[in-house]
Amino acid sequence: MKLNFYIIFLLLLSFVVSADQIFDLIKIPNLTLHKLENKNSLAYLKPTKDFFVGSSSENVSCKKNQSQNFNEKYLEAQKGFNKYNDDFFRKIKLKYIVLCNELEIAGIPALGFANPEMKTLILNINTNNSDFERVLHHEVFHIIEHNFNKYFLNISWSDLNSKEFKYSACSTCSNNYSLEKINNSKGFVSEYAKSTISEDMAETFSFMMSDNKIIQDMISKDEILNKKVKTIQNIVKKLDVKHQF
Amino acid sequence: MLKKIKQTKSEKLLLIFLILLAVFSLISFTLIKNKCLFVEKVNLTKLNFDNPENIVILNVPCGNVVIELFPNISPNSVERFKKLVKKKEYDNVAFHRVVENFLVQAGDLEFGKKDNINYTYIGSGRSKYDLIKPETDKPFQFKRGTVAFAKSKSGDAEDSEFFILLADAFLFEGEYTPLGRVVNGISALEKIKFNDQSEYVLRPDFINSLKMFSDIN
Repeated sequence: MKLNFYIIFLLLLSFVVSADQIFDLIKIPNLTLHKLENKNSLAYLKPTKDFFVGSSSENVSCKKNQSQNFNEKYLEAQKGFNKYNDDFFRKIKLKYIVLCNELEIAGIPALGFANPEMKTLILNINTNNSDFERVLHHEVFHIIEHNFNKYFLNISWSDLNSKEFKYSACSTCSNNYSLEKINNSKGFVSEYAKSTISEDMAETFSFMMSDNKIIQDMISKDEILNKKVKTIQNIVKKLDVKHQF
Repeated sequence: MLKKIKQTKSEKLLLIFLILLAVFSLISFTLIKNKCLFVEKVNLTKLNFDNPENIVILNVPCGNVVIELFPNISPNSVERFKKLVKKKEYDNVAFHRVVENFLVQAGDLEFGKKDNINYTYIGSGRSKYDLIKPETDKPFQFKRGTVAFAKSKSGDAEDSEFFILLADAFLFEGEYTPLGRVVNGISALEKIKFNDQSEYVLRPDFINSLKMFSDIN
C-alpha cells in the first residue's frame, strides 16, 4: 500500500496538470473563450495555438486565427446564428462554436465540421463570406440530424429524386464539392448536395436558412426540390414550431 | 572576585530583538499551522430557513457550509443527493479532486472513504445505486458556490460525485446537473487541501459529515 502511494505520488509530480475547463468539456486543446452569448447561450471559442485532435486516420486539425479576420468572421457567424430562435440551440444541443484557420479533417481541407457528441461546430474562417454562412447552417443541420434521428426514420428522401439518380458512396467520393447554386437544379441545390442523402438534406436546409428567396425561386420551377424543402420544414417545425426560414 | 560586566546598549538591543523574533516565530508557526484561523464560522443555531427540507449542512475541516438544494431545477438528481445525505453515505469521504480557486470535488463512495481510500481508482468509484440521467435542460447560471453532480466516466450519467464551484464557470451550463448553491460558509471550502501540480490530491481533506438541516436542529 505504501509503495503504491509513493508510485502515485511520483506520477502526480511528474505529470503537471493544469485545469483546462474548455478541454475538459469538448476535448479540444488550446482554446480560449471569445464570447459567451446571453441571447442563445452559444460559446464562441478561438485557438490560442494550432490544435490537432483525434487519431491519425480520423483527425481534426486547425490553426490559430489572424485577429482581423477572426473578428470579421465572428460577426458573420453571430449574424448567421441569430437567425434561429433563442432556445433553438439548447433544443438541438449545440453550444460551442470554434472559429479557426485552415481546418482539415483527416488531411482533407474542410470548411466546417460538426461534432454533435461534444455539442461543437468547428468553422474554417478562411472561407468567403457567402459560403461561410452556408457552411454554418449546413453544419447546424448535421447536429439536428444526429441528435434527432427519430425524425428521419420514416423519410424516404432518395425516393424523391428521379429514378436514374444515385448518390455517391460518401461525402468525399465525388469530384465536385461545389457549394454554388445549381441553375438547372433537378432536385439539388448544389453539386455537393449530390454526394449523399445527409449532405443533400444539409445543403437544402442551408440554402433555406441563408437565402430563402433563392430557394423559393428554385422550388417554383422544381417539384422534387419543392418536396425536399417541405420535408425539411416539417422536420424543423417538430423541433421548433416558431422557427422561421 | 568576579568583575561585573555591564551590557552594552547594542547587546541589550540584540537581546530584545532575539526575544521578539522568538515570540514572532512562535505566533507565526501557530497561525500558519491553523489554516482555518481566519475562516468565518457559521453558527447553525442562529439560522432559519423557509424550506429546511432543501437545506443541507456540509461539515469540512474548517467549518460548516450551508447549501440550498434546488429540486425544482433538478428533481431526480436532488432526490438522489438527499437520499445519500440521509443515509450518511458522504460522511468521511475525500475531496479527491481540488482545483485551486476553482472547484472542490468529492463523493466517490467506493474508493474515497477515509478508512479505505484507494488512490489508484479514486474518482471512478460507484455508489450502490443505479446511475441516473443528467438533468441539464433548464437554464441555470453556474456561479461561484454552485453545487452540481459530476459526470460518470461515460459522460451521460451521474451517480454520487459532486463538485462545488469556487469561481464562476458559465460554460458548465447544460453540461452538469445543478443541485444547489452554497448560501453560507464558502470560505471553509477555499481551505480544502489542494495540490499545486495536479487536480488530484494525495492525503486529501475529508467531509466530516453531510446532513440535512432538519436532522441537526
